[in-house]
Amino acid sequence: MFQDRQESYVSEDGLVSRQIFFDPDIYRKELEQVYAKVWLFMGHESQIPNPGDYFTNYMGEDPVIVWRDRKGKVRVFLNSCRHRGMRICRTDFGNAKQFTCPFHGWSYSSEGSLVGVPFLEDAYFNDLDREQWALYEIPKVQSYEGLIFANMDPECISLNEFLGDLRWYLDIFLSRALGEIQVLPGRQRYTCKTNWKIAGENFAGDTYHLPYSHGSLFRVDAPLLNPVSYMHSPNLYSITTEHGHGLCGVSAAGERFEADIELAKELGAEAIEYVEETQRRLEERLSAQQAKVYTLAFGNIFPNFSLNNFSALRPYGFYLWHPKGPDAIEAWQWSAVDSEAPQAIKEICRAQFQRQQAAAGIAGQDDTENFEQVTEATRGVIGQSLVFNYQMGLGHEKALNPPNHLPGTVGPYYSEQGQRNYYNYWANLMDFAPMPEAKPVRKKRKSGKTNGKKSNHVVAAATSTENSKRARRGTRV
Amino acid sequence: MTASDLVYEVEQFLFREARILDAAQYDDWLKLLDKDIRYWVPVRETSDTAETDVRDITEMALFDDDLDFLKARVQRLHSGLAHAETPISRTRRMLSNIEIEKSSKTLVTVFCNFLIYQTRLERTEAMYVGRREDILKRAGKSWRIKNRKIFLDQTLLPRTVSILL
Repeated sequence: MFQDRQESYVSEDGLVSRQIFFDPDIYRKELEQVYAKVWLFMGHESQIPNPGDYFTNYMGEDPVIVWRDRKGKVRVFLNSCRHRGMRICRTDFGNAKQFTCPFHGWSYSSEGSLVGVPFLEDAYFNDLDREQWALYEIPKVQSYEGLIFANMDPECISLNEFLGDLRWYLDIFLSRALGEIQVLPGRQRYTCKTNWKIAGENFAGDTYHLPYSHGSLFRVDAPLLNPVSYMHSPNLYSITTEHGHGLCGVSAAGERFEADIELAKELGAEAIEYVEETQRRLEERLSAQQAKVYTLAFGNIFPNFSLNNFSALRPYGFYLWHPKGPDAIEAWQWSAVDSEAPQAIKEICRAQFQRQQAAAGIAGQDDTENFEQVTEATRGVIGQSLVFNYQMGLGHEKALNPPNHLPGTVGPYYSEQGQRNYYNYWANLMDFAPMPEAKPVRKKRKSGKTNGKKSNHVVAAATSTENSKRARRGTRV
Repeated sequence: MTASDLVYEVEQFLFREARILDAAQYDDWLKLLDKDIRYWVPVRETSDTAETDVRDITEMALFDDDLDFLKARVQRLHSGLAHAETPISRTRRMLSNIEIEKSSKTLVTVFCNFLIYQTRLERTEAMYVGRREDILKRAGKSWRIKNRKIFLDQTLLPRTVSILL
């Protein structure tokens, strides 16, 4: 082989082996050590308001049914018959008292009980322990303010602990609505030939791609779109928190609120009143500091749940990047609005979601072009021997004087801190050599070491000198 | 005008429109649109109830564009920064099963099936298949598209949609 398998793929200083986006063994391990261990977003409670309501989703590659049982409890089941594995629910959403497997007719209730077995007497001599063969239930299901998450690991940390400091920001996003957060029916789904991490990291930290990848947004006469959200401002920050989560473009001094007021002025008195009311609502429910932050802009909850909400006049966007093999994903996206927003603002939110980040939106398609062509261009022998560079901002942390009340690690707007945090947590879950807090590149350089020597930890535990050389060669720091 | 004259004229209009889109002559295409056009492509999902098959128009769609935003999409394609369409895709639009219902002196409703093949770069490929309901409005000797509803058969799209369907 051109390059041996490595023991570590993520360096201390923001370099990541490209093999993690292609290697089938790593992918298999990810399903077991990432997707089967962390909290995964399923959907919003407003999608299943009534007993019996359900929608389907995936946890890694496992298909699941998210189902509100007769008593109103949300449960998540593997969407597969315990007898011979047939998919028992073959629709995307609906309401059901029970599901009957199309293969041999086993039926399951919304509590997961095996309530019907054809020919129990003739075929099984009444000798089948129906409790043992109940539907496989995902052991942990918790909601955070209406956002439903599930975890396959019965020993996992709580959802609250997993979200950690991110909750301070999520609360803003979730509390600003005057009414309920109401998911608009219609989940958009598309295939993209890339690794799931390429999509997740894009929301976790990649502010840098906005001006160029989405440059066309600045060139069209479409006031509903929001390219201003993508503009750099010294008062916008990148935020990272424990467990790989990242937020981008977070405002601390009310910029997003002020931008909303400006936009609202063009829309009329009703819009101004609405925006001011959402601000008051935040002040009532949360802290003055959170009210100033006003929204979370965009971010990613590790591993594959991205979300955006630039303001009260913008939609809530939810995005799942479902892994479908090492180099394929299915993107699932849906949107929500504030149920008490004026109708005109709901319409703006809906249109903006469709036109910008969604499947036919004019921003989303440029992202997938990047994702797919990155994948195409890095799968070869040389391509796989090189590393990706996530070193932006390393060594310049002191240049920023961030407000100290923002939870998490606060970095500048243009930064790859989010990606470093994402891959750091990923490497920990994968039992690859853990990456301590990234070391500043500049300082090392000043200490007189050459770039080449610095790169000894390019691929932290490269198994041979040859590997290190190759990795160095690819590192144009 | 006989019924078959009308059928011929409408079919020729739709075939010409498809050719203009395949040739990426977007500015010419915009000229075929009525100023009040609504261009709507709902999301398809698999449900156990027939009435939710095609969702209510107020819910999330793939496209729900007016003339202004269709112009913005074309502007984007000309911007030099439409990376997903640079270089532009090669597309082929096949229309069939065209049926025409005359609604009034100036309006016709046209049903058709379509298959759109898209390819770009080396191996990027997609196919979009579905049916369409158009309302065409008489404009002198030709027509303008006043309303377009596109019902894709696919729930899972082959990729993000970078072309006009």
